[in-house]
Amino acid sequence: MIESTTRGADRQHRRARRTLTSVVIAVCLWETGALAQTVPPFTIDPAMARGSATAPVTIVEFSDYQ
Amino acid sequence: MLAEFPGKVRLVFKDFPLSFHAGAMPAALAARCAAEYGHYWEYHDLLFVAQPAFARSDLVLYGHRLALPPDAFAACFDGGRYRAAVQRDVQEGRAAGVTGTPTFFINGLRLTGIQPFDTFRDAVRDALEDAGRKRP
Repeated sequence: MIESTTRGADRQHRRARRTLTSVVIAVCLWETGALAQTVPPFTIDPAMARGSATAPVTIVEFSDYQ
Repeated sequence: MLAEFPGKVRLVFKDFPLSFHAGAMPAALAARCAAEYGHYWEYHDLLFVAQPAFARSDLVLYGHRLALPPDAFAACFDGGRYRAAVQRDVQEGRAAGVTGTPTFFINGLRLTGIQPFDTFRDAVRDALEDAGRKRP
């Protein structure tokens, strides 16, 4: 009886720890933006690009001139 | 933005002509035709200043202002030479969740609609920080 109670408590403890770990990881990922939307890489026509091709930041604008 | 972050930002324009803007597709085609003569960005800027005047005669006039060869330029956009390229941009936009214009992606982070300059500045700074963190 005591053993099964202990095992049950251990299981609950492990489950709680897993849940907490998942939450911490999720928060860390959110902070780094990894959970932000991921978009497929865009093709770039060099004639329609300005700035260095090796720039660390790319701003892609979808527009229709209006 | 390019001036504020020299060497650190690249700006890319992609076409997303909306169906209810009748002149949007012809404008997109004409701008790509202007690119054949190295005048894409000048033509792009003319279009934004002149919007929504995108009738054929307007597009020809803008080409004339940039000294583009009139017959060749008109034949280019009349013939829809770059229609497939424009449609590829639209498909890419839709795949990325674009439904309206303007829509911006700053290293993948989407900003929809016209935004204050400070919003872009902050987003670029964040993206630069992220890029710096990820650098090996």
